Amino acid sequence: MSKKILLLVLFVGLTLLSFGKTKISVWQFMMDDTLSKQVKAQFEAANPDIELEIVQLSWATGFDRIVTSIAAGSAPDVIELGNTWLATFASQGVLRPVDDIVGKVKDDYVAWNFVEYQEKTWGFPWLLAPRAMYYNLELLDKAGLDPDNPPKTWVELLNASAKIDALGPDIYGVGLCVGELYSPYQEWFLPAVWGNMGHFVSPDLKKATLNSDPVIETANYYRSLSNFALLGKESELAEAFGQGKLGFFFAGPAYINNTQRDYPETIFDVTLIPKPRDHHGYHASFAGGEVLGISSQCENVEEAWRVIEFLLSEEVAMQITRTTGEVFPTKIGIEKDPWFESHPLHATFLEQNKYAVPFPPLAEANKIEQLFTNIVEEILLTDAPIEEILQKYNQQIQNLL
Amino acid sequence: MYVKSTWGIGAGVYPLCPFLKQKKKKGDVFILKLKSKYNLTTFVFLLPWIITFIIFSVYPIIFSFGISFTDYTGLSPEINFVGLKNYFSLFKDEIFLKAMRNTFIFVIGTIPFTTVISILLAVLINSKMVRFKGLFKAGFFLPSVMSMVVISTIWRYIYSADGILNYLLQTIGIEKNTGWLASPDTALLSIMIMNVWAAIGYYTIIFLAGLQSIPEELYESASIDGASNTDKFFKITLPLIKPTLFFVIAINTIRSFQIFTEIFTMTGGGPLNSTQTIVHYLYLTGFRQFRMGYASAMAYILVIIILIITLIQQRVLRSEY
Repeated sequence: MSKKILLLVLFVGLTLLSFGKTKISVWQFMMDDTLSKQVKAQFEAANPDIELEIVQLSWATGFDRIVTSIAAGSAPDVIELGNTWLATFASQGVLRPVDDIVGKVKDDYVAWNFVEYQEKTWGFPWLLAPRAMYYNLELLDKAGLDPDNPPKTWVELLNASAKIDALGPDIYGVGLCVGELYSPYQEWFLPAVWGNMGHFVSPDLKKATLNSDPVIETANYYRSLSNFALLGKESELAEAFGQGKLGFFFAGPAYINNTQRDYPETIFDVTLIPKPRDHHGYHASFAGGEVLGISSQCENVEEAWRVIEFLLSEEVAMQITRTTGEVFPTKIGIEKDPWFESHPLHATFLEQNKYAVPFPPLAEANKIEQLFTNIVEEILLTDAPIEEILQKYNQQIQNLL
Repeated sequence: MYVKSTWGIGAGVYPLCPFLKQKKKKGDVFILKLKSKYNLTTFVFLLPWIITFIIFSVYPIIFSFGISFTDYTGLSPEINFVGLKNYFSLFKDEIFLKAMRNTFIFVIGTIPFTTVISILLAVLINSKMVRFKGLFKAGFFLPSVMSMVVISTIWRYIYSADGILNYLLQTIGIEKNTGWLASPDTALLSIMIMNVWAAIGYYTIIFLAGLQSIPEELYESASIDGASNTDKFFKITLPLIKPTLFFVIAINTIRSFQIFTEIFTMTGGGPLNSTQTIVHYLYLTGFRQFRMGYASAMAYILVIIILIITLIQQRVLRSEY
């Protein structure tokens, strides 16, 4: 009898305890199941009043799941978003402005331009994924180039690509992305425009400037580079690079580990993206990254913030870096972490991040990104005059601003 | 005769058949009416399905029709009635028109090949010349049971810039620095070829079933009369598998108009929208550009297209039988 009473008390106690907890759901892409469980355990141990639910999304369908959940009124409390999506989500009222919270950590993290839209802050910069230039040391050597001095300017890159391309029918100077969304403009056309001191939209984000001289010059250069280029999806280019068929290739840090694992015979290095000329422009790169936002449907903002604060911490963010090798924490001074000493290629990406520029915070960013993919493909895959292409899309972008 | 109007609705309505009776009306047209007396037990057992069908099929169909007249984004709760604006805008939308064109090219370019190859393979497997029939049947049917995502991924490797196809071309002196899916001239054609390869197994099996229902005596008497194999094919086989042929064409037409997975997995509609199809553009518009109202209008244009083509096919069917 006493056993039954004890069990009943235990049951009631546990039930009350579970009802006493606040549940916070986090939908994210970067942590796998094992890491999610670790993070959940660590967080709940430190915050016994919160039950943390971490859901991993896939890159293929995650975006759709987020949109569907918002439309259904069942959005998670904390959402990981790609930094290019933030303005669109913010403009639709999906996210809660966090200006009242952000002051607590503003000085500890970088990349706040990822989360600003119309003079408000809509989230927290979590992870960085800048793009840099991979190069094959062996091919540079075979082409009579100095592997210790990879190209630093556009002309040097063009000449080096031409020499490598001449090495054989299945060897290509450089890989340029086409045939899919996003990568064609991110790697590397739009950053090249920025590096050439150009912009596709005016600083007040009201006027399209795609037909300006720096953009035209960049587009012409890009087309000339295509003479020595392998054109394909990013994954195809990464594979060709691993197989030793590509001299140069622009991408994020994700391919370091993959290439080392799948193609151990390929000797490669990573360097800053070339700038237009010695005394002009800069080594601009695309500032890819992940941000954490609080859903406007979230009812427990204080608890959601505690979860975000935990995820932002160096401890958790570095765990993600160590596990994936694809992203880096936004924490100031992270380059001093001993992990980067033993991972010099990743450290180069951190160096490249100083020149990384995010996509402008435009409400119609998603539509403009799709236009940019078309722009790059028209430059690389057609013979249409550059000015004509840029003029046509300038008008389309203007219509969206 | 009941003909499925679309995959979803057709399959969905089918379980209701116990409650429906078919009544002849002027000529050969049949209408469906609810039986006045039905088995309550059957209804109770079907209830879970009926509820699911109403929630997940009927409601979304009605809801999407409603939002096709609005500027609903899916993200913002704000919804404004815009009348027929979405429908009119579609016919000024260059990408939608291109997607329509690509979809029609896809339908017209794949169905004849799929049908002819499937018939030929079925006839071949059904003939006495071929041994190990089971092996061939299983082999041809294999792509049908594989996920289209898996098939698309395999073909992506074949078509990639440094893939098998370019490698083979290189051995005969043709160099290509672009993947087949990365060139606007070859991307759609490449997907069409893959689609034909993936689809023929399924239709071969259907044709095989049709062929096996033809009485052997017909061929024997034709042989006695001195008919050649070609005569037998055109005078016996083809006329007798016509119902199967129409079924295959109808189903394949509907499936082809709804092509999505191959495009989503292989090209994302690119390059330069050369593989953009109606359903993929609908998805992009709804889920990437957050124009759910506009995307819904697109869906209803597709419904109308499929409806017209299905009615034409139904008419052809009626005139034949």
